[in-house]
Amino acid sequence: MAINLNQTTLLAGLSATGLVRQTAQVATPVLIDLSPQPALAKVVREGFAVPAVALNPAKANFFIDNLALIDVRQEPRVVSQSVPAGTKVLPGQSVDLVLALTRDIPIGIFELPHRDLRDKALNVLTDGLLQDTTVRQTLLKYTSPAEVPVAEKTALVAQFSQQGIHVDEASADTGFAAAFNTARSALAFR
Amino acid sequence: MKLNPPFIKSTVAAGDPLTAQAWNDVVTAVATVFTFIESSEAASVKVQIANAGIDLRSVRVTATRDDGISTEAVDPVADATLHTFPGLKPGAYKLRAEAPGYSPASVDVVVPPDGVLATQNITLPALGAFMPALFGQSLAAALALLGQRSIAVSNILDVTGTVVPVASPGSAYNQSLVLLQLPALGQPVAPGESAQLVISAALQAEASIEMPSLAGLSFAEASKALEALGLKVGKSYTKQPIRAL
Repeated sequence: MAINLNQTTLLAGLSATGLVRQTAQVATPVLIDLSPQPALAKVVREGFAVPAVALNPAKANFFIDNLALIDVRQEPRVVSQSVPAGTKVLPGQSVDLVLALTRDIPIGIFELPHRDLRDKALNVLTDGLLQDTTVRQTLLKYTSPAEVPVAEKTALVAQFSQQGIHVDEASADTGFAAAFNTARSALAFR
Repeated sequence: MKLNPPFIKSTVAAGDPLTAQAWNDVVTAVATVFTFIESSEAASVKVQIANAGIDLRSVRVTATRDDGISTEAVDPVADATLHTFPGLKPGAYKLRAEAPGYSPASVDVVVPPDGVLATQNITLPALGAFMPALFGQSLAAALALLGQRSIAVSNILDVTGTVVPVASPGSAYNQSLVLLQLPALGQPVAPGESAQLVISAALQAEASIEMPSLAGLSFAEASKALEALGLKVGKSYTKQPIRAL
């Protein structure tokens, strides 16, 4: 719905309420640009200035209006940072990042991943197990697998099992701790 | 005492009898030497330097006889505080004491024939102030201490060689510690002379940031996290596995 406002009527109305008068009383600095030429951005790529693109506004707008937003979960995620976590740095330090899509990130890059997950990509968890709100809440609520109460642990193991993650305490890389820690780490990428 | 050796008139050969006269001569001679030594020691002249806190080992005390012959007193040893002339012949002397940071002082004495002379007290007039112990003190405290003693400070350097303004070192240097003082502790600073100090460099505290783990964050989230900490995103790359064509 379009709203057409008559500017004269609007100002008169605001003036009556005092809003215009109040605004006029605020001292605002008057800025005058005395530089001989306006600042111009000069973007250089591979040694040459990037050419200016002339877009057809109507067609471009049509195209943009018909684009769908990319789900944030499908955005690339940070897998490496030039300054390792825990390093003491000074303000202003710049940090280089390497990102990748979750479908390209193997769970095997985690420390001690569960055996059933280590050859799979992260999106298996982010688009599967971690879609479940209860699972996510349990993983976020407890920082360590040892803290998980029996009832929640049982529920979690059942969820793991449904996703093909078999918990077997016979081995460290198939135990509940390995599954919990792997899923919890994957949450950061969701 | 006047010895007139040889007081034993003759030597004897092995197996010769020793007469009573000869033995008595030996005993008498030993007694005479002992008496001489005792009387000589009694003739020693002792000088007490009365200045409180003065380093007595730095004080030189001399005695000059009226015929121009001079001798120097032995410095105090161990816990003693007296300078001693171990045997001055009777006569008139000028005792003179001098030490760094003090004006010389002298006193005229006459050593009597029996050698007995009371201990002489000499006080040296101080020329200026003496350097207090400044090592390890904050610059502010050190300057206050020097000010109390009217010791001027001509130069202050920090360990990096930066010249610190003496009149207004600035709050950054107030807690810097004195690492070196010139002159050294206890040394005199005569009027017109000044002290120099070397202090630790002023610490400049800069807030440090512990880099967070950014793993798993999207670019927007990572940028926001870094920006919130006052950090910047440098170069960023999105990579993918190399796929076979």
